[in-house]
Amino acid sequence: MLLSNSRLLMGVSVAAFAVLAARIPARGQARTPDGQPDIQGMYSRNGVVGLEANPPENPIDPSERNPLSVSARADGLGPYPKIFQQGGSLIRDKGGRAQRRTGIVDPADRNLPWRPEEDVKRRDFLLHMNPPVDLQHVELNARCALPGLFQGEDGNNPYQFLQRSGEVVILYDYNHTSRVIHLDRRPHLGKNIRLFMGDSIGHWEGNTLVVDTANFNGRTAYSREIPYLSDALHTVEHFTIADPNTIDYEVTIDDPTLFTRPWKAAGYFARSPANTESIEFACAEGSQTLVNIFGRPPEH
Amino acid sequence: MGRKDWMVIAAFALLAAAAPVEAHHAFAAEFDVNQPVKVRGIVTRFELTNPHAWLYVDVKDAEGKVINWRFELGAPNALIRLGWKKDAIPAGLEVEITGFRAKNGEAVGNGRSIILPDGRELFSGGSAPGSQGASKAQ
Repeated sequence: MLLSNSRLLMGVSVAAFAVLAARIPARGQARTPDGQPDIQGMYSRNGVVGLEANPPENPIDPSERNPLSVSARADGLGPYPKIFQQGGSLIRDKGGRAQRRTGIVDPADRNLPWRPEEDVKRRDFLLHMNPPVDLQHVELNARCALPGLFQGEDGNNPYQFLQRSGEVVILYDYNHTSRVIHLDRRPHLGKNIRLFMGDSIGHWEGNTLVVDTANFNGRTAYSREIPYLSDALHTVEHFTIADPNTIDYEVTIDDPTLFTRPWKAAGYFARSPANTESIEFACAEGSQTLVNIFGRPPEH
Repeated sequence: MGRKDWMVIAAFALLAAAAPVEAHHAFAAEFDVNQPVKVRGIVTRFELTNPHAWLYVDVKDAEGKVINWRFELGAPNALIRLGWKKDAIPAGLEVEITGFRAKNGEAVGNGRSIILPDGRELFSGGSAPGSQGASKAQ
């Protein structure tokens, strides 16, 4: 009995040590009053949205990223002078981060594990986005929908990390979105509750914040080439403190409706200059996109 | 907005890195990259509204009829971070705008370059493809 008690005690001690070790941040890491590694501040996010191998011809994308973009011009002229989009470069910290992992990282060849029939549907959907055959085929961001995890307009709009007791809050500059990541390991919301930003449950493993998110509503996108994800989407994100100014990011995207197995994307958050502030972003009231596409509604 | 402010903006334009980022919306669903357009006219209004700023310009057509064009510009949050202010482009200023026309056939465009009366060109990022001169868009 004594022996078994000792073994039990040893087992409990080892388990307790393991739990504590996982919770104790590395030496020198600033902590919040409730003991979390302190990651608060403004950051730009970089590289999370990447281009898959064999991307679809994209009829809407003005980006240089996709060589099959309809807006690519042989003379190099493209829509939007760079200057329009370079406000973001002021919130970026350009120092020494070129070697970080970005874009689609698993599978390594970037051939995403599409269910063949869903890949066909996705490519067909894209073709109906220009011109948009109906409202559903207008890009989600252009409809001012909340951006989900991936469409936060990384170039122009920073992210602010706030930490309260038992919570990590991520404020998006883009479209005034927020994510509240609960650290109390509560179960996810009931399956009947569906959200643009999902329901996020997190915990710290040393200097890594692990976030499990479910309850998505099927109305968010990964990229212009992947214009929607399903409501079966389930993500696991790892935010790892690399240094005081950098958080490495990796996300596992598990969407069994669209893909045969999970895949991963990576990127990083770079701390913005100290004077960076979040600015109001009132999307719907200022957007003229729908008027330009469908015309003005009748006057009453 | 004084000359110094313009110089600040121009300096930012030259310094800003050419990091590829996303525009807010699907450009090609609204605008036709194969329809470059260049107009000269008088600024009537500048709206620094999200998700895109808009510039309104009175333009005389071949018969002398005045048409109010509107051009979509960049995202205000980006422009503000570059030092723009609400009065960045005052009404009454004569400008030349180069861009791409909307597919709806109206007097609407996506502006990529604005040339001021003294010949200075706004929005021309130093390392941007096509930044050598908006007039080459035609």
